[in-house]
Amino acid sequence: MVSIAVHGGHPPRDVLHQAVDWGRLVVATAARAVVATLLGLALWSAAPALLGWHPTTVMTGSMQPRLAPGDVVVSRPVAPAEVRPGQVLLADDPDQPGHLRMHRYVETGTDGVIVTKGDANPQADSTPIERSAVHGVAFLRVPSVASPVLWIREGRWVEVATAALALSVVLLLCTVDGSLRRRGARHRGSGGTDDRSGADRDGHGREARLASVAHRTVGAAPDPTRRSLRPARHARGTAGRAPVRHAAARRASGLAVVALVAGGGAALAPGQAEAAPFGVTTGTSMRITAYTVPTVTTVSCTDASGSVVIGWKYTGDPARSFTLIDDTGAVLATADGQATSATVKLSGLLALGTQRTVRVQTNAGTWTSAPSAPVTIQHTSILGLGSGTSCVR
Amino acid sequence: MSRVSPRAARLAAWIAVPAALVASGVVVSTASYSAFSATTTNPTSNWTAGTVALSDDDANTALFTATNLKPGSTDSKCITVTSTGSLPSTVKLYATSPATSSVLAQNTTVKIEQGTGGGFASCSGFTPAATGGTLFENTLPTLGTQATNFASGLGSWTTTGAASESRVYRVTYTVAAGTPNTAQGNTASLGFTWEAQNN
Repeated sequence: MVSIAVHGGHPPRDVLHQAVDWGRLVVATAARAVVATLLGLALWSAAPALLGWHPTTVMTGSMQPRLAPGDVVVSRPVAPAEVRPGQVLLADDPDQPGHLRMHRYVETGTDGVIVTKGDANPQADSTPIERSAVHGVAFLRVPSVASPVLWIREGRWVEVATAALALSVVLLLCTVDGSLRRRGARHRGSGGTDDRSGADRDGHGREARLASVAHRTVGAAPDPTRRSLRPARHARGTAGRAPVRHAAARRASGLAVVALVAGGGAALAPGQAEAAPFGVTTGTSMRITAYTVPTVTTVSCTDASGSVVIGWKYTGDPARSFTLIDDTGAVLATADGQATSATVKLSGLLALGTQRTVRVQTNAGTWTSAPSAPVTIQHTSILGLGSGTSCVR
Repeated sequence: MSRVSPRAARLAAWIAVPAALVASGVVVSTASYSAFSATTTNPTSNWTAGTVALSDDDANTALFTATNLKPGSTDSKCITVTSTGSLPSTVKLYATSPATSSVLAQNTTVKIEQGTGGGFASCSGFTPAATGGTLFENTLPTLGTQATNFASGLGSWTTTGAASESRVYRVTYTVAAGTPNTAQGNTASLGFTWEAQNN
């Protein structure tokens, strides 16, 4: 740069300046495009709320890959009849009062409830939603625009700071071509009553602060030749009261716009509850079955000189006792838990072949078994004489 | 190279805005199309933003399969539930598919405790938590009607998502001593479901 200045003076240096100017123009235009795109995305996120649509911030990955955390999803209210399986719905979360669920409608449950599932969840949501709880059907997706909300919520301050810094840099880059635009206005105004003209006779004066910033970044060492070419700092220092005021006003209005956008965005988009809960279950089960007190088998009857011996077989947990009962429930005999037979001798002064049915009941704890198969016995007695009790075959 | 004319500079100053608005519209519409045009699910395991994950150590077997229960029968089993998700979450326990209308069920109480130590193989070493150690102690049908979903679930275990966390649950059933004869041969069953949802 120095050698160029020594050799030829102005034309080569002008070429260099023009290249720098074009570069500034491209950088500033690109930066403005980035800012405008962000504003456009913010507009898409927030403006549908004016139509009564419902923007929400996706907070989890339960709908990945279709919806990612940090996305803003705008849901459109629909009539309950228009809600169909396959749609992504925004609804009150029955599991967590005050929260919203954004999941896919996978099937209709009993009573017309809506079974939902996050695409990335292994299972459908455990609690279905009522049709009346549906706020709308997801309609617009604005990718990643609410990522800062997510970061703030999760305390990822490094990302927040990085994003804020990047935004500041981009906003600053938006202004690096300011002098190029204003140069023309000053030329036109130089012959008239414009109060700026005095300070801007060479067409460079109003670049003021921003130009000096640009120069500091281009070449840190003050170039003595620059000063004559670019009396910007002179202008600021000597004759530039009005320009400084204008620059301050511009700066203030720029800041106001940024604050308005940030504040509006913060008030509209992230104010909505998070969508898309992430759920997973695991489980086990229990099944209990009560004991059934076994009934004795192979009930037999054997005559034994005026009485009968009732025998049985029993398998199962040790029984407390056995009870021999007749049709009326009267207890004819009892035996302990180890017994396999019991003697029955009916009594009575007058009986002419009276028949009784005998069944054996198992007693286990407080529970008793069902009665066994019956055997029939009879009793013959006239004043204590006769054959007594015998088996009936 | 020609000099940057003020006209070109002013044009460049504003051309970016409509272009960017169009670009943002294109971004939103393509993103919306890809997200909502398909009505089928397309699951993936490539989660980058965090997960909720829950597992237990029962190897898909039942906690209890008890038979021949008599009045006074009782047993305890433990199960370890582990959260390995990367998102903070709330874990709750509730009953599913209860079949608890039998006389046996009505005469059976269930006690559910949470704590540390022990596991599915053995409860030895289990220590109930000092506070909130007992989550439930009532009859089986009450469990089946009281804790039926996440909202009505038992417990308020919140995980941080920073590391794997475990809790051991001890389930004890007791068949009442006065259970009537009509309970013989009855069955009762229910499922225990632990569900984690991110906060």
